[in-house]
Amino acid sequence: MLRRLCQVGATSWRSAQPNCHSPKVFKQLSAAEREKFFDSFDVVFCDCDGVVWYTLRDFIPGSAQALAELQRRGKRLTFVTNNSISSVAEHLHKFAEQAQVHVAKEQIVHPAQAVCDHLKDIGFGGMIYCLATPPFKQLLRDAGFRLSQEREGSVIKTLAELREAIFGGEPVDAVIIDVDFNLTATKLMRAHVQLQNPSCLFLAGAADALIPFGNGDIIGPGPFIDIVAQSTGRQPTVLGKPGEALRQLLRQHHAHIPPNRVLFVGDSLASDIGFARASGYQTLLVLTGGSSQADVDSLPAGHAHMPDYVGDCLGDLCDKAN
Amino acid sequence: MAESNSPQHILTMSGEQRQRFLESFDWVFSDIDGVIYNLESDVPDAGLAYNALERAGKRLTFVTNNSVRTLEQTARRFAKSKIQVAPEQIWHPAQTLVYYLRSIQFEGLIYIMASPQFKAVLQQAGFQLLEGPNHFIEETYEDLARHIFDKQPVRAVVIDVDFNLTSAKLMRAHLYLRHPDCLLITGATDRLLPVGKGVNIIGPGAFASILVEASGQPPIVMGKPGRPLGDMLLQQNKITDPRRVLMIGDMLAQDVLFGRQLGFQTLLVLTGGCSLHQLLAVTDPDLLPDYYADSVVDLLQLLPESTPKAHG
Repeated sequence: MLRRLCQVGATSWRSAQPNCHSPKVFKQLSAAEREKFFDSFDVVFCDCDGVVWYTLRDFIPGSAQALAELQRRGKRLTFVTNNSISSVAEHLHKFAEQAQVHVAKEQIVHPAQAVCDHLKDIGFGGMIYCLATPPFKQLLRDAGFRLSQEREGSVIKTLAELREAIFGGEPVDAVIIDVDFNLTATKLMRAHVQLQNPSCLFLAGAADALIPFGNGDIIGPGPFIDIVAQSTGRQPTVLGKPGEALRQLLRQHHAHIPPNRVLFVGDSLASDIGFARASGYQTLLVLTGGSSQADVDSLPAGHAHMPDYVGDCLGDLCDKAN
Repeated sequence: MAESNSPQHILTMSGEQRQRFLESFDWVFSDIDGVIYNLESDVPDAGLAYNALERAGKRLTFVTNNSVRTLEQTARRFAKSKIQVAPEQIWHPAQTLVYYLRSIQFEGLIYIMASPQFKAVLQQAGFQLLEGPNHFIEETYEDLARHIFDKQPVRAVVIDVDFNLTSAKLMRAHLYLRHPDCLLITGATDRLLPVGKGVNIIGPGAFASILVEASGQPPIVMGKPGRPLGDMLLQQNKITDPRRVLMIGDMLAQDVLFGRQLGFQTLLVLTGGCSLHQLLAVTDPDLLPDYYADSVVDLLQLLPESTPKAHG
């Protein structure tokens, strides 16, 4: 019952926390506060890109030590990435380069893998229309799933060609949308048409509204998923951040842990912090990725994306207290 | 005029009501697709209704959200339906945009996602357009970045129907819109486009809304139900009393909303994107037409017999 109450929403446990209106700056915690912080959670959900390493590149200085420190303190780590361009194996390979960190396959939650696991769980055997990157599609093919082929990159000049692109092609039993660098309006329209069949599944992976890029954001996969959801009046099963199905999946991972004993570490206010707060997790925003201190400062008090703690980087966790 | 909550079918009006209705407007603004013809078929005898309206002294203007057809193609299609029109009687978002850009003395580059026909109208009017990327993007963020980051001084992003719209184009448009002086201009607003009986595809309005949301910038709408379009139509026709306009159309969120917002009378026809069932489900007063009809041809029964000219 206690857990149920905690799961109702972020506010039920947050009200017990002092100073919950603005985030605490991690580096400014006293030694006693730091110890209290480390004692306040058992499980860590941690984003990868922009937190552990720079997006698709090197480890961020200090992050390997911080992960080692968390493991030394007996915290159970799960990495929750939205990046299906790198496979689970590639994620593991990257972790393996750091001698002090030990990560097993089960500790990585990855949109393509989550979608694949879900399809296996429900015994799916049909044809899939998959709007995603080649590694995402390859993962599904390697698992034995059948993907509908598509002519890519042809220019549509006439209404007849448009019609063929949308209505041609075989019927499918599932539509999956994640990041697709060559996403087109016609692909979304074909998905829309296929989803008129109520038995056709509608799944999605990463669903970020915006993706941090350079000095700002670019449009993420979320709005494209939303377009199909709105046009068809159907809600997809979203197995990437900030999806509801992923939320349930993470809950199942640690069913016996109350949400307030979970710390979520991320770099995106919407996809990480907002997602985590809605689950009732504690939240730590690090400024090595998509969000800046100015972004945090611009949030009104009590905003649903407001983190509990802010750190310059993950490495702050193992620095000495002031 | 029907002021009750539910719209009146024009054929249920009494003789006196019919007379008052016919005398209540001087201008007819009419949609085209779904009213005169659909993608695959013509609405039978629709042309007769417009001819009769013209004989009754009503001035016709056709206001379409479809810029995919050129004016010449539209005129030919009209000829097939036996309607004679001058090009200046037809308004579509590309043409409206030319009027608009001239009215604000726009200077600068335009980044455009639209049909070749739409682009041609702007180019012929002397505007400078940028488009793309039209290449296949390699599956890396670096390659994506090469195609969407651009430093040219784009001061307007235009989005209408583009058969080759891609996520990369929308991302690039979003980046131009970071500049505080860059306008966001939309054409057709339909979120769903009927392409056949019971078959819809996703319309340009849905894609435009991605840019509206990502940029936080309200769009300037050149298609129905955009306000600038309405203002220009009133101005060009020198109309001072909008109640003297009858708007005929098949779409609630485009034609009826447009008419209601501008104070026109509205007549919904059920030959296109709205069924009787959908009409009866309307609760939003802004989407509720004054009148409805099975087809524009119903108007023929209200209008005087099509008599030979010699008769007077």
